[in-house]
Amino acid sequence: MALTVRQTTAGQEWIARPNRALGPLQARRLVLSAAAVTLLIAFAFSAFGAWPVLPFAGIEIAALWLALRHLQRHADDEERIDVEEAEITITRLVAGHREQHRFSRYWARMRLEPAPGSRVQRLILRSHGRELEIGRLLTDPQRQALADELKKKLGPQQASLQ
Amino acid sequence: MSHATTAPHDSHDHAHHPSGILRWLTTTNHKDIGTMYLLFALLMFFVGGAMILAVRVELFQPGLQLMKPELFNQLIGVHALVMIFAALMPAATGFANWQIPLMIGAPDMALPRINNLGFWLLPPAALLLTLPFILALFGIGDGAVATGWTLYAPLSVQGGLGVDFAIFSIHILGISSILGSINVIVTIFNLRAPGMTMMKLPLFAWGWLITAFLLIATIPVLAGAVTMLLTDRHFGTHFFNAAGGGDPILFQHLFWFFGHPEVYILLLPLWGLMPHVLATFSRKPIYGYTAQVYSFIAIGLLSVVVWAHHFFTAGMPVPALLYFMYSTMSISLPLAVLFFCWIATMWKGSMSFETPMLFAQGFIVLFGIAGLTGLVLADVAADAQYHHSYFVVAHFHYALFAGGIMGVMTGVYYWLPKWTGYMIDEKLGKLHFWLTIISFNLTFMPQFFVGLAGMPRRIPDYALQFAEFNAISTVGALILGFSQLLFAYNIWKCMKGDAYGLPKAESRAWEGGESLEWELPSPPPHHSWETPPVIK
Repeated sequence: MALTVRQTTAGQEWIARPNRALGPLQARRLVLSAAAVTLLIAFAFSAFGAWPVLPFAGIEIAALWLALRHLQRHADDEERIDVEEAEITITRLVAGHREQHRFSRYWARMRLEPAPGSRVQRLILRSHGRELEIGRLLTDPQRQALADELKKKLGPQQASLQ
Repeated sequence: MSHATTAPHDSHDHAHHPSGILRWLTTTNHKDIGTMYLLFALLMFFVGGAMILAVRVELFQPGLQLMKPELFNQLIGVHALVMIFAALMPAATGFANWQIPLMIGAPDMALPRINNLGFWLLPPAALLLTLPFILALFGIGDGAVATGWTLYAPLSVQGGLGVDFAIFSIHILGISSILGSINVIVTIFNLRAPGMTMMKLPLFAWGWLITAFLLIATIPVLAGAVTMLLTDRHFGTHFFNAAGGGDPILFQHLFWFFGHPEVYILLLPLWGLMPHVLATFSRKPIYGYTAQVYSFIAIGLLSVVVWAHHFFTAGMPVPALLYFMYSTMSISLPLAVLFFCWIATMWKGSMSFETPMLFAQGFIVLFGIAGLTGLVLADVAADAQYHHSYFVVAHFHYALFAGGIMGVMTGVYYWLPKWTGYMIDEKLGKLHFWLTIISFNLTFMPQFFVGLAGMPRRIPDYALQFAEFNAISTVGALILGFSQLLFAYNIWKCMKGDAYGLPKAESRAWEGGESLEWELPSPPPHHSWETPPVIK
């Protein structure tokens, strides 16, 4: 996972993005070229009477298109953890859907706990009865680093230091 | 279920991690699925092998000793279908699952759940293919498909219930192949590590990419053909019935439009694997990377325009015969480039001959024989004599056993230390190699000669003059078949490395290994490349 840390005027921002090598333009070209070849073959055989090839070619290209569309919908997925003076803002983009969560730095607590039945750890932010798992896009070492960093920034003393 | 860290929508899977049988039923981890594909392929390799050993024993002497011709016909057809669709293709897909993510620096395949479905379609398909044998024992139907694997109409239109089972099975296998192909394509395009441009892609991934595109282009044709067969059989259509205005030759065109690329579908991943193995054990970089990539592409393109050379004798206009002859022969040009690059990779290298390298050498020599005898068959005038003779049988076994299965064995021995974390038992591996290569030639070399002398294929009985060579061939086949138990035992030993005191494999299990998978520990962690490597 690509993880970038940025210094902002008010603090620090963590941006996590999965690695994506295929842009929307290439994805479109990929489907179109696969469709062109497959449909050309299917139409050629249809011309000789073997029209049942056509629906199979159509279904298959549709499946390829759906697979790429699924990936493209998640192409811009990201999680931003913005640590500001008084607040921590978590902004998530999942399949084009944006959600935002704010926590007060004074009140928020975090804990790192092993995910049940798994080898990875979960990083959970808590405040006022709300809980949120953050850093899902990160690897374990990256999550550990984020946790160490957050530990320094949460709670009454840390928040009041600045 | 695994927890893919690639996408947030998968993260809820963190919560449960089933164990036991459920782990394998529900796994979305590319390594687990790769292992299942490979073990399934190994099992079916023995199933298909047992069938053909029975056939070879029947052919030990002229006359009918062991079985009726009907069963003989069923065994040869199902042997081919099992070996192609249930052994070789799953083995290649197992390689893809295990290795493509490791080699391109991806955390997993791009569509993990589709990946799981793709595998679990295979066991029911294999069951459907072989079930009619068992049903026949209970008096239901007359056994499995008895038309040979090509299912030629009109014979298959008249065939028994085995044909319907085969049609259904082929549909399921086709869906599985398409799902696998889509997964390989999107994984390679979307999940390459930063900096890994297409022209830095490992050759193994390139070979698989062309295979995936060939499957996408040709599977609908096969699916259409068997569907038309089904409707001809049961729903009163006449696609292949001349009396009803149909054309039986159309089936041959449809079948081989898929069937010929299928040969390259099976072989391209293994041609992609060869340069890695040769470079590793020659301790030299791969020679002619770009030339090999373009050769793969050229072979892929040519493979879909040469299909009719499989039925030159069916009757075609002379210009069509000439076209299919010359286009077929032109495939030898990109293949010659590949052979040149393989040999040049080894040239003046510091070579050592561990088991995978031995198999790679065997592959090159024997696959070379397959290519040269293929040129003979591509010649229209010569093919008129050789068509449907044992010469063809020997030719495609040099291509698909020596090129296909020995290629898979090369890959298995090469990557087993990576997969299991233990080095292979070299002594056993070398014994397996020598037994395989000697008995393989003992089995199939005589078949070239009986073929040249005129022995037809797919016939359980033969003229007395072919008796000696057939006896030799059967002895070879029995040795070949039983030596494969050593292969299974060697894999088992490696999987249980501790119990057998095998040395642990280092990350770079083979000294000369250069591709990305050798940067990871052996065995790699359940989730590898969570942080993509950066390719310079």
